[in-house]
Amino acid sequence: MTAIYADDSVIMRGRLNQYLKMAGCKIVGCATSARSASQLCEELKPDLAVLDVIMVPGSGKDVALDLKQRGVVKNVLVITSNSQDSTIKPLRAAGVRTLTKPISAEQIAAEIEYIQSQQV
Amino acid sequence: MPSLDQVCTLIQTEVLGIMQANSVGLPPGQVGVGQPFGQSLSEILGQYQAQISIFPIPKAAQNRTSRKPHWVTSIDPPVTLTVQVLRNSNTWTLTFGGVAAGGYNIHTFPNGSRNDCYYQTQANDTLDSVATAVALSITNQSISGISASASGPVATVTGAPTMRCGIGGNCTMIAEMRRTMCPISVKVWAANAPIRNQIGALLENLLAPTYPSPMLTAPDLSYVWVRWAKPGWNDDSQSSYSLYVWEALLEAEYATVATTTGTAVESIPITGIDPNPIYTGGS
Repeated sequence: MTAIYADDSVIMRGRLNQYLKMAGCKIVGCATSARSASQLCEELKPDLAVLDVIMVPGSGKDVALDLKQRGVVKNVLVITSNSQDSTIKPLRAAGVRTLTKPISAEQIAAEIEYIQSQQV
Repeated sequence: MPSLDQVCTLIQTEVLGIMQANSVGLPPGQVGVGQPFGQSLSEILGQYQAQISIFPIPKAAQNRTSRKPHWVTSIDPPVTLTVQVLRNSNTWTLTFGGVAAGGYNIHTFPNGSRNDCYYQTQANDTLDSVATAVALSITNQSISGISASASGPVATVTGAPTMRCGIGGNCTMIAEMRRTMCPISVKVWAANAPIRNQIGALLENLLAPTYPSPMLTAPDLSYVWVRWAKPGWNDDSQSSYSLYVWEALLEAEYATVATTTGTAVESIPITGIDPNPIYTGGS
């Protein structure tokens, strides 16, 4: 499964890079802003996009909804520190998967496993 | 936070790897951190024909303060104890496996996130005693409608609407407080144009398409992200002195981190259940 990830924090990017690789993903791109994440997804058409919510400039939430609506990326996982319904509900209603920080390698692995099980 | 020297040393290792992988006969000392002085450069070029210098341009560095620091484990602590959670109608079984050891933190949530039933393993624990202690930690919370018992390495919980169980160890945690983006120059100095072109092309072709850019691990276990800021270019302005230069600019991004001790508790996914159900409506 090919994946891109986007987060403005270099520490979080490092962790996502590590966890996605551990889960067997092939990393094809990495972005530091919502805008560049959107561009990367358009360009690379990964199987999975993992996005942070707040990435100035732009919002990972908006990018996730847009990518999902337009079918650019089939699987979108949003990682957020905000577990409020106003953030989570619209994403899940659109079929975007969500995880709340802090995240662990096991959570990412469980997500990848689940996504793969749905593709069989 | 890695120093700029440490950042350059990480890039030096990457460049050395490229040189060695492509059998370029350049001794390791010829891929150096910092600018060579004029005299030593002429000596180097007389002996080895090429020198690769990696040095930062700190004046052009930019800093950004992190909005809200998020703590992550700097390195996940090894845990030899495992748990498998299975649902069977109104009961849940927590089956402990692997090797029990002292100091692990077991958090069980039998009722959403409202009740954290905690047990820290002891040095003389066995799988059976862990299951007994975890069942007791649930019983001790006196949660209405929820009971727990143990038999062998299996704890059985009845009446719990949901179940999460995690096992973790003590660890160091880091949070990003600020990140720095600093241009790093990679400069090839060669005694003739063909050597310069060969090495420049190697670096260009092997670093440039690296997609995504390398994520390197600093000595303090934080990360250094390296990407091209400006592709390579040739500089023949000193060719009359038999000095041929190729230069490229990388950007290294790295974090200033705060450190604390913490406990990593890994959430164990429940077999056969979507770990992240899609919201289907309702309040």
